[in-house]
Amino acid sequence: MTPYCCNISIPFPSERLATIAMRSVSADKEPRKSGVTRDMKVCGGVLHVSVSSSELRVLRVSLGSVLELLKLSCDTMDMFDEKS
Amino acid sequence: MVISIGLEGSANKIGVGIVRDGEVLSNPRHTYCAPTGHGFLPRHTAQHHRDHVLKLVKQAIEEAGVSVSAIDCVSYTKGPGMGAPLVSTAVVARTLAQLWNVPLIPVNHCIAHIEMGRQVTGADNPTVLYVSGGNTQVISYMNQRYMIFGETLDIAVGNCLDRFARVLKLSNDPCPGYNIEQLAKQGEKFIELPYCVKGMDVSFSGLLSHIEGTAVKMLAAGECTQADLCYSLQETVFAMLVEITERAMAHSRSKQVLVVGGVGCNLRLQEMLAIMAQERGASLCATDDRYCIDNGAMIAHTGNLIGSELTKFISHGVIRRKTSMRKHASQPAISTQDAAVLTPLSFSRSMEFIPAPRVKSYTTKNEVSMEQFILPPPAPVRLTLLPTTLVRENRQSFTSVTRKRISRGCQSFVRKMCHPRSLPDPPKTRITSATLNNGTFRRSLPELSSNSVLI
Repeated sequence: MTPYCCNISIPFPSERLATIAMRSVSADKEPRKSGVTRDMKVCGGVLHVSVSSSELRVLRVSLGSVLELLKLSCDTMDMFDEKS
Repeated sequence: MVISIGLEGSANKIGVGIVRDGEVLSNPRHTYCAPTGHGFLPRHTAQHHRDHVLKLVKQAIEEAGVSVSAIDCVSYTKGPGMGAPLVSTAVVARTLAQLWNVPLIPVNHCIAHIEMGRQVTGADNPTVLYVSGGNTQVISYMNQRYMIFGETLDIAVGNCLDRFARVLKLSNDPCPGYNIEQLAKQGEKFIELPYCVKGMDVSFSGLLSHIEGTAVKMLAAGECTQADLCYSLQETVFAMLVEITERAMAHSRSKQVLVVGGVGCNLRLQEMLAIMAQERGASLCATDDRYCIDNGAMIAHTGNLIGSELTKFISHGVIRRKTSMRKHASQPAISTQDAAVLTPLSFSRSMEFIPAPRVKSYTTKNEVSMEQFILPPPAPVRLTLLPTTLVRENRQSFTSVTRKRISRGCQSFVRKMCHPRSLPDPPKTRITSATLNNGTFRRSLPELSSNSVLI
C-alpha cells in the first residue's frame, strides 16, 4: 500500500527534450529499501512524474532529489543544446 | 581518432577531461573542501558537483579547442563511490550524450585510475598500488583480469590520514593529505605506532584510534609536536603499504610498480616505493597530482579504450543489445547506438579489451624530480584489460559484507598462494630488505623461493 502519492507535470519546449530528461533521470532506480516507487512518462512534450511512498518523509526526500536532477538536466540542455 | 569527454564525480572532486587517443586536451577539476574539522558529506558534495559541473564542461571544451560536434563519446564514472555525487554527474553525462547524439560509456573508477597511470607513465604490466581516500589495494594483472593481492581490512589509507587531519584541525584545502605531508617535513621525533600488516592485507583503524587517543594527550603534555605526529603516522602507514606491495611484486615477479590514487602523489610514499623498487631491481612509475587525484581525463581515456573496442564487438555481433535498447532505438530522435548506452552496459566476462597503441608520452609538472621515476614508453604491446571484473562494482566501500562478497573469489585464491604461513619455509640466507630510517621503513622480507610461486 502506498498512501502518499505525488504527481507532477512539467512542460518542456519539445517532446525530444522531455524524453532526454526522462531517460537521464529515470535510468537510476530508487533505492529498493526506501520503498519508493517512481514512474516517469512523456506525453506530448510534457513530462509526468509520479512518486509514491508509504511514508511522507521518504516521499519528500525522493521528490526533492528528482526535482534537483531534472533541474540539472534542464540546465545542461540550456547550455549545450545545439538544435534549438 | 577518437575524442572523448569524461566526467568524474565519485567523491569530493568533480572533474571533466577531454582526451584524444590518449592525449589529454584539457582536464579541469574542482574540489569540494569541507569545513576544517569535518569530512565531506554526500549531500553537500552532490550540491557542489551540481553547482560546478556545467561550468567545468564548458571550460574543458574551450581549453581543448574542439567543437562539440567533434566529440565522439561521453564517458562517466559508474562507480564505486558515493551515491548522490555519482548520480548528479551521471545525469549530466546522459543528457549530454543524448543532446549530442553520441554513445555514453560507463567507466569503473578503479580501472580508470590504473589505465590512466599506465598511459601517463608508459608502464607495461606493473604491480599496482592503488591508494586513495576510499580504496587501498595492491592489484596485479593476471589471467586477463585485475586481481586484488591485498587490500585494507577496514578504512582506506587516505581516510586514515584525512581523519587524523581533522583531529589536528588541519585545513581541508587543498586536501588534508597534502597538509599532513607538508607538516611531516618538519617532524623530528619518531613516535612508535601500531604496525598492522596481516598477510597481504593491512589495517588502519586500530592505528587511527590509537593516534587519535594519544595525540591529544601528548600534544597537551608537550611531549611532541603536530609535525612529529604527522611524520610518524606517514612513516608507519607508508611502510605498511610498501611491505605488502613488495610481497605482491615478489609473487607476480613484476619489475614495475605503479602507484595511483590520491595518496599516490605523496612524495614521501613515492620515495619509499622507489627505494624498495631499486632494491629489487625494479622501477617505480608515478605521476603527479594532475593524474593521481581523481580527474576527468582518466575517465575519458578509459572510456576511449572501452569505446573503441566496443564498437568492434557490437559490429561483430559479440554483444547483443538488450531489448530495452532496441525499444529506444525505434524512436526517431535518437539513433540506435547512443540510445543503447542509456542502460548501463554489461560486458561478458571473457571479453578482452586491447588498448590503443600509445601515441604520446607525458611530461610532468615538476619534470626534474619526477624524471627518474618515469620510464620511457615501451613499444605498443598487446595488453588485455577487463573493465568490469575488478573489485567492487558500484557498491559502497567498506561494508564488510560487500568486501567479502566481491573479493572472495580472488582473495581466497590469493590467500592460498600468498599467505606467508602457507608457503614453504623460505631460505633464510636471502634477506632482501634493509632496515632504513630508524627501523621504521619496512620490516625485512624473506625472498620467496622459486618453487613457492605458482602464479
